[in-house]
Amino acid sequence: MTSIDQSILTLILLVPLAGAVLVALLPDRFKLPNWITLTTTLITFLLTLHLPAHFASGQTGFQFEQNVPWIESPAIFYHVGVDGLSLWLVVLVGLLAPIGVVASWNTIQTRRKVFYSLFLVQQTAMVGVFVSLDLMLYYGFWELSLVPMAILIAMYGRKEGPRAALKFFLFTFIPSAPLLVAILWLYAKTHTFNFADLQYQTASGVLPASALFWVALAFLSAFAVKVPIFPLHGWLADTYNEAPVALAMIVAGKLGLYSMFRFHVGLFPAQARAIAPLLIALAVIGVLYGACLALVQRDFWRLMAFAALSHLSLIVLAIYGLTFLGWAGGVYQILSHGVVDGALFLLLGALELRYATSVINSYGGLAAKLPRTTSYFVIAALAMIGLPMLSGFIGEFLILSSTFAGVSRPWAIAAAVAVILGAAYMLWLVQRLFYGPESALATSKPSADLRFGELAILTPLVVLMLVMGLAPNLWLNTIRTGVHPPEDIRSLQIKQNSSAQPAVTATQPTSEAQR
Amino acid sequence: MTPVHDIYRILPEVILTLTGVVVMLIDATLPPAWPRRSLGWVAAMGTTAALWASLWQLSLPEGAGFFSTVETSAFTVFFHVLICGIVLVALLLSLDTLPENTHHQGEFYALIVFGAVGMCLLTSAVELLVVFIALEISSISTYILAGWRKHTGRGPEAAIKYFLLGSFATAFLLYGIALIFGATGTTQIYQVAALAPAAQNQTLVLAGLALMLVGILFKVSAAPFHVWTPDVYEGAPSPVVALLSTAPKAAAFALLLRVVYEMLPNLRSIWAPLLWIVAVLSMTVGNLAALRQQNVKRMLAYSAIAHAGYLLAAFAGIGEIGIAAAAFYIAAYAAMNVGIFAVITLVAGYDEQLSLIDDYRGLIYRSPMLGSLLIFFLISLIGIPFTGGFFGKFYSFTAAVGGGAIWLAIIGLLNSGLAAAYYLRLALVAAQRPSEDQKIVAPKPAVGAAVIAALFLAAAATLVLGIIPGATLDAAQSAAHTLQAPPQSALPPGPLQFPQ
Amino acid sequence: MLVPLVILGILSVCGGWIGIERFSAYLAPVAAAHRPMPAGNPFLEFILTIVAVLVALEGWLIADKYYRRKPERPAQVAAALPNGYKLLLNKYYVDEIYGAIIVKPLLAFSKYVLGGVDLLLAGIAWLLAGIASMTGMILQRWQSGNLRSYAAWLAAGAAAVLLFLLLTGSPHAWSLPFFHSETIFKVSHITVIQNGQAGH
Repeated sequence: MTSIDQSILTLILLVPLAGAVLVALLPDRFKLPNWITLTTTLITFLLTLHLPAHFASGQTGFQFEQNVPWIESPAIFYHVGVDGLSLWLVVLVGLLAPIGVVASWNTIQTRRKVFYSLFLVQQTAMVGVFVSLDLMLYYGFWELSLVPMAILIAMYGRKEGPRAALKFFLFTFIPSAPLLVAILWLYAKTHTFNFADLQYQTASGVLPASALFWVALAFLSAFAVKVPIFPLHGWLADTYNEAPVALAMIVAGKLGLYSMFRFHVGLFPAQARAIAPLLIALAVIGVLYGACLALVQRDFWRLMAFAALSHLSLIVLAIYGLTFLGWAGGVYQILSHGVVDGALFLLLGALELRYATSVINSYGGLAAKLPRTTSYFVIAALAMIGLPMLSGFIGEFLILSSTFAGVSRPWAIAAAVAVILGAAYMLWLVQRLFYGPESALATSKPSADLRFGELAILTPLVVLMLVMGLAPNLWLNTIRTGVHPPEDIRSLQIKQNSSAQPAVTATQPTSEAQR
Repeated sequence: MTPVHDIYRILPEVILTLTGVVVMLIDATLPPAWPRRSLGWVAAMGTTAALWASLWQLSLPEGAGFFSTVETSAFTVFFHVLICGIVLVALLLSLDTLPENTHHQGEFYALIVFGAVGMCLLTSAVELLVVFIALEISSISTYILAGWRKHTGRGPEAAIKYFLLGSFATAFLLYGIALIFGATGTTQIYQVAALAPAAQNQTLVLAGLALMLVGILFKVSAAPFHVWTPDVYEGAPSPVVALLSTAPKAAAFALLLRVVYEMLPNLRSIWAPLLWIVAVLSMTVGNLAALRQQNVKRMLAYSAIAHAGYLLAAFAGIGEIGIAAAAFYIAAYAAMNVGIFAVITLVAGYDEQLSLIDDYRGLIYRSPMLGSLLIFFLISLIGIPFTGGFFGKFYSFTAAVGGGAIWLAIIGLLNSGLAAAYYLRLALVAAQRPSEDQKIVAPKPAVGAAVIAALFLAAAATLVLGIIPGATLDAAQSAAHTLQAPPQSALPPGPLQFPQ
Repeated sequence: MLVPLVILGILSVCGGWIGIERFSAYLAPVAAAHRPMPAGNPFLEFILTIVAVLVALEGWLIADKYYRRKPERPAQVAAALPNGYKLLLNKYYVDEIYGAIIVKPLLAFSKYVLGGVDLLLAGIAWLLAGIASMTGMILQRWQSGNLRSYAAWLAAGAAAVLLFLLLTGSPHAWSLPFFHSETIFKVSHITVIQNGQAGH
C-alpha cells in the first residue's frame, strides 16, 4: 500500500473544495469558472479511478482508510475509507461531475461563480457521505449536501425555484433531527462514533432493544425521505422540475440508498430484519405507483421523477430483501441508474434548451430532424427499461430473481409487472417525443442536432451502458466483497452469546468480526 | 503567593472606561463640523487593548479582588474576550455604516464602550450588588443606544419599551438579591453557595432565586419574558441590534451560569425543570412566531428568542459539561448573529429602506458578496454542519442527552428543523432570480475597510467554530472547570458572619 | 434503418452458431438459479427443424401464388368473406380489446386514483405546514405593541416562575409529581454538586 493510498480519499474530498475556493476568488472572465471547474472535476475523476485500480479484490472490509482525531470531546474522528459498497459510488460521482459541468456550460449564464463553486462543494459533500466511517462526520456531510442543492435550485429554478428548494430542504432536514438525536443517544451509551465499533455494539446486545427500535427507526426515516420511498416522495417531482440538469443528475437517490445499506441494515441488522416486510411492501407499492403515475404525466421532468421513484423503490426492495444476490443487484442498479438517468437528463435538457418547453404534447416527429438525439435517447430509454445487453438488465434481473427465489413470490411478481409498465412509459415517451407527426413546435423552431460538447459527454455514458450490460463482473467482483452475505448477520447475532470477543479497533475491517 | 494588585483584576474594564472617557473628551473638544469617525477608531483600539488585557489576565493566579467582589479566572477571561470581540465587530460595523450627519456620534461610540464595561464587569462580578451595578451600566447604555434613530417613530418607542420593561425586570432581580441576602446574610456569591443549603428559611432562598431568574431571563429574551425583543430589535438601528442581540445576552448568560451552577448548585433539582420548560417555551414560541414574519429584523428577533431556548437546553447538562456547552454555544451564536446583522445593516442601510423579506430578492445577483455572506450566516443559524451554529447546537444537545433530558433534545432538534423554514426562506429569496419588473432602490452599501474587517471577523469566527472548534471548546471547558471549582483565594478571608 | 437490418439479417443466419455456453457464462451470477435441463431427443429436434422450414417454405409459396401470379385473387377472397377479412385485417381486434380492457383503465386509474393519492400526500404536508403557520400567527398576537400588556405578561411570567419554584422546592407531599425532576430528566437520583465535584 503506497503512501498515496492513505490520503487519496482526503485528496478526493479536498480537490473540489480547493476548486470551489479558486472559482470564488478569481474573476468571472473568459469563462474562467467553467474551465476551473472542469479541470477540477476531471482531476477528481482521475483520482477516483485510482481507487478501483488499487483495490485489493477479494478482501472484505474497508480500504484506503484514514483515521485522524478531529475533536476531543466528544470524540469525533476524521475517519474515511471505502469498501466494495462505496467504491463505485465514489467513482460514479467523480464521473458525473465533469459531465454535469459540460452540460451546464452554456445553460448557466448568470452568476457563474456561485453556481460552479456551489457545484464543487456539493461534490465534496456527496463524496464525503460515501466515504465517512465516523457517524458525526457522515452526518456533517449528509446535512451539508442539502445546502448547495437548495441554493442552486432557488437561483436557477424555472418557475418556482424557491418553493421547490424549500420543499426539498425541509422534507430532508426535518427527519434528520431525530437522526441526530439517535446518533447522540448512541454516543451517550457507547462513547464512540466509529462505525465499526457501533456495529459491534448494536449487534452484541448491550443496548436495550426497545430503545434500539426507536433509534433504528429514526435512522430509517431520515434515509427513507432522501431516497425517496413512497409515501415520502412529495419533494421529488418539484425538484426534478426546477433543478438545473447538472444537479438533478447527481442528487437522485444515491445518498439515501447508500445510507440504508451502510447505516441502517449495516448498523441495525436485527431491526432491519424486523421492519423488512413493511419496507418490501412500500418498495413494491412505490415501484408500481411510480410506474403508473409516470404513464400519465404530461411534463417530461415529472415523468422522470416518477420513473425515478419506481426505479429507486426497486433498489429498496433489493436492500430489504436481505439476500446477497439482491444486494449485489441493488448496488449494481444504483450505478446503472446513475449512468442511465444521467444520460436521460442530459438528453431531455438538450431538448428543453432547444424548444424551451418540457410539455410532452408539444413535441413530436423530431426523429427526422434530430437523428443523433433520437438514437442516443432510444438507447438510454432501452437501458432504463432493462433490455438485456444494456446496464439496466443486470441489476433488475438480479433483484427480481433474488426476490422471487429468496423473499416472496407475490411481491416479486408485482414488481416484475412494473418492468412492463416501465417499458410502457419509456417507449411511449420516445414515441411521443420523436416519432409520430411533426408538432407545430418542432416545425417552427429549427434546431440543431447534438453538438460536439453534448456528444462528448453522452457517448461515454452510452458506451458505459453497453459495457456495464455486457461485462458486469468488472464491477460485480468488487461489489460482492463489500456486500456482506446475510449469513454474516446471523453469525453476528450468534456472537452475542459466545464469549469470544473480537478486538474492534477503528481500523479493523468489519469482516474480522465474523471470522 | 505574591498578592495580585486588585486593579489588575479589573484591568479590561479600566481600559474600556478610560477609552470611553477619552472618546467623550475628544468629542467635546473637536469642532462640531469635523467628522467623528476617528472616534470610532479610538474606541475600537481601546476595545482591542481591553481584549489583550483580558488574555493577559490568564497569566494571573486565579482569585478575587476588591474584597472578593470581582474575580478573574478562565471563565471570566472567556467571556471578556467574547464580549470585547463582539463590541469590536459592532464598532467596526458602525464606523462605516453610520451616516455622516448622525447626531452625537461621539457619544454613540462612548456609550458602546461604557456598555462593554458593564457587560465585562457582569461576567467577573462575584458579589450580587456589583452584579446589579454592572447590569445597570450595561443596560442603561443599551437603552439609550436603542433609541438612536431619534426622528423615526419606532426608534424612541423601542427605547422607551426597552427602558421601562428592562427596569421592571431589573427590579425583580434586585428584589431577588435582597431576599437572598435575607436568607443567608451575605451577597457574596461563594458565601451564599456555602450558606444557602443550610439556611433556615429555604422558601426565602427559593423566592430569591425565582426573582433573580426573572430578571436574568428577561435579559436573555427567554419566553415568557421575550415580548420586548421584536419591538426593540425592529426600532433600534441595525448596528446597535448587532451589539444588542449578542453582547448583553452573553453577559447575562454568564451571570445565569454563575447563579445556577455556582451559587445554588444544590437546588439543581429545582431550577433544572424550570429551565427545561423555559427552554421548550422559548424555542417553540420563537420559531413558530417567526414563520409568518415578513420583516427581517423582527424575524431575527424571534430567532434570537429561539436560540435562547437552544442555549438553555445546555443547562440540562450536568456540571462542567453543561457549562462548557453553554459557553461554546454563546460564542458560536454571537459570531453568527453579529455577522448576520452586519450584513443586514449593509443591505438595508442605516435608514432601513429595505426591511421586508421580499426586498432581499435577488440579493445574490445584485451583490454576490453580500448575498453569499447572508446565506452563509443563515445556514449557520439553521445549524448546518461545518458552521459554528451546528456545533453549538450539537454540544448543547449532547449535554442535554448526557444529563438525561432526551425529550428536550428531540423537541430542540425538531424545532431546529422547523426553524430552517424561515431562515431558508430568506436565504432562498436572496438567491432567487430577480423579477423583471422589480424596482429595488438599494442603498449603496458603505463598504469600507472597517466593515470588511467586521464581516471577515464574524465569518471567520463562524467557520473556525464549525471546522476546528477544538481550541474554543478547550477554552470553554477550562472556563467550566473554574466555575465548578472556584479558586480557594476567592473565598473571603475570616469566619463567615451571620447577621445577628 | 438499413444498417440495423443488415446486422439483424446476418445474425439471423449465423446467430445460432454462436453457442449457448458463452451465454450461460454471461449469466453466471444467476447460475445458482439455473438447473441444467435434460438434453432433448435429437431426432425430435431434427423433425421439428424440418417442419419449421417446411412451414416457412409453404408461406413463401402461398405468398408467391396470391401476390405474384394471381394478384386479383386476394381481393376476390376478401370480397367473398367481408367479415372474416375485416377481423383478420384488424388483427382480431386484439389491439382494441387490449386498449379497452387494460390500457384505458390503467391510465384512468393512474391519473385519477393514484393522482388523487399523490394530491392527498401533498395535502398532508401542506396541512402540517399550515398548522405550524397558523400557530405562529396566533403567537404573533402576543406582540400587541401595547407596553402595559407587555409589563403584565412580564409580571404574569414572574408569578408563574415564582409559583413553580416554590412548588417544586416544597417538601410537601401534595406538590404535583410533574415537578419532580425524574419525570423529565430520567436520572436515577438528584444530583448534588459540591464545589469542584460533579456527582452522577
